[in-house]
Amino acid sequence: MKILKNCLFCIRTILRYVPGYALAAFCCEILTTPFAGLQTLMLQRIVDSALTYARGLGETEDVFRHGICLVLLLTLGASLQRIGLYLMQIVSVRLMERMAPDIAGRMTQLEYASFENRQMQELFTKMSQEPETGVYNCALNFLFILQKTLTLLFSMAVIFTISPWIGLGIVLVGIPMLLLGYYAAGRNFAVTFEGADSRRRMAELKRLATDKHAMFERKLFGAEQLFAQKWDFYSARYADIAIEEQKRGMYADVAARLLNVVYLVFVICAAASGFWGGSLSIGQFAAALHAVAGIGNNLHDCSRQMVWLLSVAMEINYYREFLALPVRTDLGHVESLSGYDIAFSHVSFRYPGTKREVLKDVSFTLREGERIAFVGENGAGKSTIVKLLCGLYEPKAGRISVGGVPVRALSPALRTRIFSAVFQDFGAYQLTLRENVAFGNLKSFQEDERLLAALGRADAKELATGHPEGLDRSLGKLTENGQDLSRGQWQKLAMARAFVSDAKYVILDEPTASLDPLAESRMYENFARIFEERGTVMISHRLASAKMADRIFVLDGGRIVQEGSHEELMARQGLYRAMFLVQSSLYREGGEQG
Amino acid sequence: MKKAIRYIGYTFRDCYRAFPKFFLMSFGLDFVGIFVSLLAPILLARILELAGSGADKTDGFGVKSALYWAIALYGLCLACAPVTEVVFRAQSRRARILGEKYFGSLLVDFSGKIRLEALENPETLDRFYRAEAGENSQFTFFEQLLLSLRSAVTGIGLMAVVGRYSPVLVVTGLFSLLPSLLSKIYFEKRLTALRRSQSGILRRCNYLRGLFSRRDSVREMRVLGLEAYLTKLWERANGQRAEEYYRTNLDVGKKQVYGIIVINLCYVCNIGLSFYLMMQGKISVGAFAACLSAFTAYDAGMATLLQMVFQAVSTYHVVEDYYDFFRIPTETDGDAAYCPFSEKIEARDVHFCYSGSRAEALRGLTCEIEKGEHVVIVGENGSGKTTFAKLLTGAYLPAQGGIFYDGQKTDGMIRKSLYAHISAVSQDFVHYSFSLRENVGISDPARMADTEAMEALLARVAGPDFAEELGGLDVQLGREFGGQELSGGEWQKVAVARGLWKDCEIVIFDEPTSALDPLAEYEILSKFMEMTRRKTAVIISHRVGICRLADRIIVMKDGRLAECGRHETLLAAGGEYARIWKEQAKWYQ
Repeated sequence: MKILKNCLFCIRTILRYVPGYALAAFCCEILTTPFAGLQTLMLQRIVDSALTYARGLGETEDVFRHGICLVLLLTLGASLQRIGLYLMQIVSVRLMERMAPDIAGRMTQLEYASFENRQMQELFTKMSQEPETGVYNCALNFLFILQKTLTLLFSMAVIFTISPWIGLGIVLVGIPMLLLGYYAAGRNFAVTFEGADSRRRMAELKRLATDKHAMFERKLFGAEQLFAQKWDFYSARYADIAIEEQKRGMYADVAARLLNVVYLVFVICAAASGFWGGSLSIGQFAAALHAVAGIGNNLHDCSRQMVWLLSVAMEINYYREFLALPVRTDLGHVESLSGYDIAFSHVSFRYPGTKREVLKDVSFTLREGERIAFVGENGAGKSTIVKLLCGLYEPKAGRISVGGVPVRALSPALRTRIFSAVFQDFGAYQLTLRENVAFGNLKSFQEDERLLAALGRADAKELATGHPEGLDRSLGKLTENGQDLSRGQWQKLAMARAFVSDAKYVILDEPTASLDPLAESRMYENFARIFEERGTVMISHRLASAKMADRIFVLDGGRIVQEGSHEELMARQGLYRAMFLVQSSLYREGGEQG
Repeated sequence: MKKAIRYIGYTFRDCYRAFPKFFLMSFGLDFVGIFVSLLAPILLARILELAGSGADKTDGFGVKSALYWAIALYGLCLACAPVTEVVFRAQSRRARILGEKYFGSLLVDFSGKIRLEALENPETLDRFYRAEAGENSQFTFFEQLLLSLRSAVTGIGLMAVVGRYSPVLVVTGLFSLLPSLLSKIYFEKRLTALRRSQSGILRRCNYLRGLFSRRDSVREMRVLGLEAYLTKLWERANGQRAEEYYRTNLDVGKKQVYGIIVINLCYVCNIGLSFYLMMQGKISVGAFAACLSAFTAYDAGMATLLQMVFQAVSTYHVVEDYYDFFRIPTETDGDAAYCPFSEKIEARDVHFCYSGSRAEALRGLTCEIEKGEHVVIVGENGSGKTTFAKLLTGAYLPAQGGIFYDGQKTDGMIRKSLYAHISAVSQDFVHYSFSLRENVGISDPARMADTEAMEALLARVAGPDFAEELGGLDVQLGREFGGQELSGGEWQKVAVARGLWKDCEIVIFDEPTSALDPLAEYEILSKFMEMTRRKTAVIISHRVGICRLADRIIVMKDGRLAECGRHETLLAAGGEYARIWKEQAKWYQ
């Protein structure tokens, strides 16, 4: 049932995006259905009239007329089919062109929580692999099956006109054959479900076999045998399931094929006796024999196509789930504010679908232009505060406001004027240098001087000046002439985005990834420069950098446990002092020895 | 061509090895199938001829019995197809499954024999992925070859039928094949050219598309307000790609229409010609009917043939990818067994260059590590630290110079004998979607069943309740298989435990702590020092502070040794080490 629904959904989708061509293509496909039957009919007529003529009873015109009809039928049938295919190709291209922007639009309209939901990862992976192709394939297959089925019906109808008995026989045998074929297809498809776990394990093992790091470990640890065992285990388990399932399908298949033999024998006998008994003309006899093979093949094709359809139709589930994902609710309409003080009051938060409270009753205020840092262990809730601040999530309890207005009531445009961010996993855009910098402030897109100044402040001016194409050079590996940058250089570009921005606050999420000591030090210097300019919210993993902030908030287990400047916090006993002493011990002269 | 023949040979050989029963049977069945395909159209023509003459002369008893025989034979022929097919299909699914198992294990096994260094080259990796995609394509290829053969024989049968009446019909019949063949070749050519020319724009499309679905890029996109701009970029790239497709299709479509016209002209010729022959009395009415039936069947048969041949050709390329993979050089092994070293490991003027890269990663590194020392390697990114660590394991061999264990060069050693004494935790350690036990125990599979030892180790590395909280040693890790998902930090702890699980003399620790917060990082590093007390340990770290605990610090710069010594000496010397140290320490003053 779900399969049918998905197929109809695809047809509807296609009709919505490419109504003209799709309708024309569907019509072409449907129009081709009577041709096989009509050809059989015409074959009969032409043979009969030829015979009549040969006996000196009929007119040449009759034979000519029928001959021309047959040629026309063949020509028209073949042409319609080709035109139909051609139209479908256009449909596929147009679908690709028109559906993709809608999917992008939809992605930008989704609640951010969906992107962080691990269970949605597969969905998003699928959605980034051309879902429009899936929709097209599903509709195309469905159409083919429909077309084949109709063709069969027409051919049967024609057989009925030749001999009701043979016709009846075909219906009696053909319908169960078709059903058995579909059942067999369904069984074969069931393997996909039941063997899915083993298949995924096999894929994972293969991924490990092709991964150089895994290969290094495998060799060094002498774990080759373990891998071989695992492969044998899962592939044997899969083979067992598949062979078992396939056996059931096979019985249906055997039954269908036996029916096919029965049907063949029956038609041939019936046609021969009819012909000899005089109730069938030679033309009808020829037509019946000619049609037999065609009908058998068609039945067979139908069930084959069905297997394919089942698997493509199931893929559509992802697309339908995607369309049903919740739409974002943070698109407020407040366009301007009188002040820019930030206030968290009694904010608690839990990620959707989880039990653990990540933030517990967090309150603090931040005056416009203030520079603060959050420090704490992994999982203390530092990144969550930033996500809430940017309006990506709605707090479970409490209120987050800027200038007295809830963050999610602000318009997205205003929010981008308030916050800019350099995230830990900042974007390394495989686009031009200009785009990479101007993404900090799209208004500055054409202002070369400003972009260069920002690059200069991020200590990365030579990326533009040292290249003939300057700001318009392409970065990354996507293009032939593009050049990939080192992690440190990309980081500088992310900083340049912050420098070019004129947002009220810059959010700095310190990278934990391995920057070498010199690069790390340069990064801190960049941070310090941002700090000099405007309001900053920083997440720090190494306390060394938090020293720059006016106020430091120490998070522990989702609560703010300490607050104050570096000096204040160091003067007190507490978590901050303890953490700082441990971290700096290795760097102080006469410090702790291991 | 030679290669193609060889690979087709391999295909047959491997198909035989993977599914011998099916392989032999399908040859037998195909023989039957071919015979039937050849016979069926001839018989049908014979029946129609006989029926025609029978209908003309009402007397012929001989004709009648001949007709019955022909009909019976024809029925048998037609019935043959479903029967052979049932057998074929039932076996073919099984064979496909067996093939998957067989070809997969060949790939997995071979991947273990490749020289690791070859994998540094992105091209090798690319070949890897292509080979994986080509796995079990042999089965499809084998099937397609047989099917092509069969439909070709059907075509020959049909031609033989009409050829008996007039050779001209054969010529027009063959001629009608030409346009579909040409348009198909043209189509494939254009499509390949299009794909090649579009690979850039396609990459861009996919890249932009990916930005919209990954959480890190979505977050940045929303905070910086980039949605509209990026949507525009994507739409433009996508539109350009679609437009090129559209133009190619339009062009190819036109050519195909010409093709149809030619085919239909041939039809007209054929039907007209056979009609003319009948009028002239050269062929009977029955033969005329046989001709008509043959022409329609011929067109359908040839369409299948062409399709099959083209499919087989494209499958061949996939098969080629699979077998090409096995031509990647395998590891060469020395013949000297590793003798437990007693004094020192030396690097003498080591040069190394990753394949596919022009710059040397190591350019004449010379240094020593004494047995039982704790050595910390520091240096900027790209100074060659990780490369040096890899060369120490013997998995990579120097291009020039050598690594010596008590004077024994790694090049000449039996790799396995060396591996048995080294353990490593690398920056890019692997997340195995196996059980916790396997994740730790994989470094020494022989001892994997020792639950007590493993629990003790995990308790020391990751905290006393770590294994218990996850649900025991045999809990499945990784959400993909319904297991426990670990955080980045937890994975790192598992990796550290893995590195320490192996019972060996030398441990290499290549900065696996980057996802940990500083406290945890410090804790792990110092614990590592303690747990490797009786071993030789090589540690690569960006936390320069750890150097104070080291017996020897190797400072690398540009693939060479910059300095070597203890913390105090190096700091006093005021060189590269002092610079790095001060740069980091100033933030803690």
